[in-house]
Amino acid sequence: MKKSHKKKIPKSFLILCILIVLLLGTAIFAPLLAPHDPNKTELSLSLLKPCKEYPLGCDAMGRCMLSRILYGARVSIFSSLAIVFIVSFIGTLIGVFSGYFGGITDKILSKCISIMQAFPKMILAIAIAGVMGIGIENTIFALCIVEWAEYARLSRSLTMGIRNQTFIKAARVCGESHFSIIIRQIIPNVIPTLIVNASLGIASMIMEVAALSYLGLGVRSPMAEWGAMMNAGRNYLQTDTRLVIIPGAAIFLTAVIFNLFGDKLRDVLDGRV
Amino acid sequence: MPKKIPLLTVNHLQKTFREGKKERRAVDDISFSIEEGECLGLIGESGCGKSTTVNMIARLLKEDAGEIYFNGKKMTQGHRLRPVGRELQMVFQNPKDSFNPRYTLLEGVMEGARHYRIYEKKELKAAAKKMIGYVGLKESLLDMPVRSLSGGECQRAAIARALLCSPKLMICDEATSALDVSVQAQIIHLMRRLKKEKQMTFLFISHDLALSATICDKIAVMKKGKIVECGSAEEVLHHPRDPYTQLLLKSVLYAEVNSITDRSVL
Repeated sequence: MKKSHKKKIPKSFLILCILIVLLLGTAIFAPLLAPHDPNKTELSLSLLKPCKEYPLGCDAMGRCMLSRILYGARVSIFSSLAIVFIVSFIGTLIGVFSGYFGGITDKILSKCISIMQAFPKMILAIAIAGVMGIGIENTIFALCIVEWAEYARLSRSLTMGIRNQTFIKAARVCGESHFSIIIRQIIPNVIPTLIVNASLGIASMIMEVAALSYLGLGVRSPMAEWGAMMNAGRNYLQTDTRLVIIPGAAIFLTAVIFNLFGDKLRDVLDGRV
Repeated sequence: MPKKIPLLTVNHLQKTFREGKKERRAVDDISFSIEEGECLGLIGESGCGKSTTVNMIARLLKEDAGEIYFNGKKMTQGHRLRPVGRELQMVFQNPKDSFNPRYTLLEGVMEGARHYRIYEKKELKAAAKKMIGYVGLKESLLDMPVRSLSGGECQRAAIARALLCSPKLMICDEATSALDVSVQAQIIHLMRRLKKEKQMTFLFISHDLALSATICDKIAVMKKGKIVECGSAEEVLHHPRDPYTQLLLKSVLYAEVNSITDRSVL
């Protein structure tokens, strides 16, 4: 008798899934979880050390650090997810069309991809965000402009590997149109790799959003965002490292969780394809 | 009595591949025809243009010159659409690669018929199951990933997929080459059953002259893009005219040549 093809999902993957759900839950329910208003300034509480009422203390403006971290998760995580979703969608479409049709379409699109990849990503993102002005929507736009090429290149090369396989020929003999082949045959076969790439990309995107915010090109004050919180705390690096370490740790932990999740997701999907 | 139209007629077909300044004529002015219920074997060594020819017939490649008539209708680029596609199905050399790796056996077999909307949704599943049984695959394999099946099972599945479209012509492009000898015999047996029970017409591409003779009524021998000899299987095997065919026959064991025309061996 043939063995069942279904593989058991590893425990570590389930744990990471729970952690991701917790992270997203924290971000979504930040208004319910935050003990204080994250934007309320109370100069008498400036640089307050952690205490019962303020578990992570207060920043230089006397705002609750815990509340700001919880609210900051919303901006940091969801803006990163939005960027990854947009760039993987656009990049996949461009890459698949380029790889599947080949010829002049591929020549033009792959040149565009190469040109985009020739620029140092962060410098270009800083330039775009700088020209467009401060604001999270401009940060998202700038990062989308610089990041799509990576996803396009990956999906293009995956498509080119699949395009010449016999099952694509078989689909054509079965009368499937190019559009149908792309939707039914190509995309389902490139998606697992792209999902893994995207889940790994979330971590780096969180750090890039934080980096732009740290440079003052991200969110508008007083909105809480982890990179912007580090930027605000850098003046106190010598006296109160807590202001930098807490948002830094939040970025680090989130990035690690998403990275491990991407890694495990690859193992799970690889076993199934 | 009106003259019977051949199911497939190929007239002066040509195809040249260009790579930079280099040109290679893969198919050079070939013509042949296949009557309904007949099996034509297109035989030749690797690179002689067999697969290029069938790829042009199956609308996967565009010819440079020549005409292809299917059921009396000329297959121009415009005509190569769904109505003809359903009646002309193909079985490929590597059975595992001819299925989407994400499909189960049932999904893979339903692929063509689903696309041509031959059956209603409910009927399609039942018809696919029936066809899977007809080609000799067990029902317990239905939900298995199709690529996890053995080579022979996969090739049976590929035949079932083609059959589900109710084709008039089945093109087998080296359909037995990737299989071991015993499985080859099973597949040939299945094809002969199809020929007998469903009056299926075959275009059988192979480099194996001995194997082709066990199923083909006519054999066309190809060399460097040209058909050097065409005739009934018996004629080509026992009275080859062209030196290349004679050379091909010499490479087949003497005992095999004598036994291959005795079709009861399979």
